[in-house]
Amino acid sequence: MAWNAPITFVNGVLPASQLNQMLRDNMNETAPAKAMNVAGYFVSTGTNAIAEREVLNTSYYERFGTTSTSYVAAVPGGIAIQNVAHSGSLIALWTARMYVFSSPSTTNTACVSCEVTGKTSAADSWATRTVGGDNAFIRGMGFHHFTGLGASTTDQVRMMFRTGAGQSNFSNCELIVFPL
Amino acid sequence: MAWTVPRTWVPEDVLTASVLNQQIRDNLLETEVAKATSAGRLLTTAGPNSVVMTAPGEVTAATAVTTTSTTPVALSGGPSTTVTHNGGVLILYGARTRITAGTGTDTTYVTFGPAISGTNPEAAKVSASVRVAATDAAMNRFTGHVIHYGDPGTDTIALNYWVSGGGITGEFANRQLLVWPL
Amino acid sequence: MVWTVPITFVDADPLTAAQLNVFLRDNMLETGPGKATTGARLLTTFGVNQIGERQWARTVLNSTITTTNKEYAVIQDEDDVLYGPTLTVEHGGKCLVFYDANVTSTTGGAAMFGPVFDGDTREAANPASTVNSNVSVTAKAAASARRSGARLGGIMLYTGEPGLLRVDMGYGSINNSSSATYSHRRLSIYPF
Repeated sequence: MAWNAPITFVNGVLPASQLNQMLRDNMNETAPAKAMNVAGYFVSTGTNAIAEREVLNTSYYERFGTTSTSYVAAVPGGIAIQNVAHSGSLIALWTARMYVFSSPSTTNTACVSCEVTGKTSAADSWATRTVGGDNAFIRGMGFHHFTGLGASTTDQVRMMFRTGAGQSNFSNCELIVFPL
Repeated sequence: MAWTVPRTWVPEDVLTASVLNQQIRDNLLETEVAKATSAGRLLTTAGPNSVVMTAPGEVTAATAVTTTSTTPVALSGGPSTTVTHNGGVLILYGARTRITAGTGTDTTYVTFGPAISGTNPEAAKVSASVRVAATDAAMNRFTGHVIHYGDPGTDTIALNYWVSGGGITGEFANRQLLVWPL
Repeated sequence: MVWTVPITFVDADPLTAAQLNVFLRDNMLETGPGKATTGARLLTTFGVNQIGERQWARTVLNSTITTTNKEYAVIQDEDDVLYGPTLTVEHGGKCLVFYDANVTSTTGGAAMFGPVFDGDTREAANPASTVNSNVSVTAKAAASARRSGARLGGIMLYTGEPGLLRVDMGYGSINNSSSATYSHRRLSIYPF
């Protein structure tokens, strides 16, 4: 079923086919027809097409670390949300406690970023970063509007971590995704 | 075209073309499906019996810029963006930042946050900013938020930057602004 | 008024007023424009075939407060007035919560702040997430131990039973010898 551009009626016969197109089929494309859950929201998936979406999240509270200077998942399986359905874009927000555990220096940072696996790699340009050490107890928040992904129902959004040097530690992580 | 309150039908009502055009054609054209023109937009209300699909957007400026201004100023590259909204905008902002001259203390620091011009002007302010007092060359990167609201209209949001004074120079890089009309 | 699954019309079937009221009037009133009462609200799902508006909330308190409590808590002053800020929103099961503040800690211990839901500080506590050997750190609070003032923030997604949710800003200082100062305390909630 798809949306039919509403016709301009003229006086005369009103056939069932018009009522089916205008009342049945078009109504079935509207938000109440698409609403299946609670706490969802609606996005456009194309011209005259909408879909229900749900804000997604995952969290990981344990402390962990990495000595990798390039972005890695850092925990088995990663802190990730799988099978995100979207029509080509999504907004991700993430937060973590973070600190430089070893090799602290004025040029070293603990970095937390985010990727859409296989499509957009994690980057410093949208990471949250701190130079603080163990006693800093910094919590940072990052965000990014991922676009140009191509519509999908199987994308994975994952938090990624790295250190400038030595080891950086992280804990109390949360990832929130708004599929669009 | 505008929404017409759906009428209550009674038996033997004459079903005229004009009534059907008002009740079916015109009202359908006010629904969210008719308003959807491209993917990736969010369904929000534009007013009584009016909906719109709004598009969030992110703008960035990667290059490092500096300032010694003690009042909020725009710097090369912004970033900035103009958005049309129906009374509210969620603004997320972030940047790498540090002090390159002077020493950070409880009273000497660098700050960045959004300044708004247009229908609902509002200068950059402390309560909607990120502030850092670190001198580390690696530069912390933090983010902040604000829900800016007012009259429906068009606002330009531009990231502004300033320092506390006291011989401080602030440096900002990887500047990021995400604007989400509500 | 509720949504009714549209029927399939058949030629020669009489088109009754009752049908027009159910499939045209009532269903149209369940769509986005039927539900929209004011601008800048999100249209969310209230259930199967049900949508409705949600109103975001925001507040900021610019005043400066100082705390010395070592347990993460919703704090009152000596006149039993909450430090705040506080917001109450109606939601359908999820709320996006943003929080920012200027923070300073006197001796380098962690100055923590973050949302507390319906007065339950246990929600924010997670003893399993021990960062310091002697201290359990709250799971969802923002924090800064830097003696120099900073303005930081956090975000979280609250999930729970639909209804009214009260959100207070909670505060705590995990270092026994430090006090923490906060100002320009901002809280924003986006309910779904």
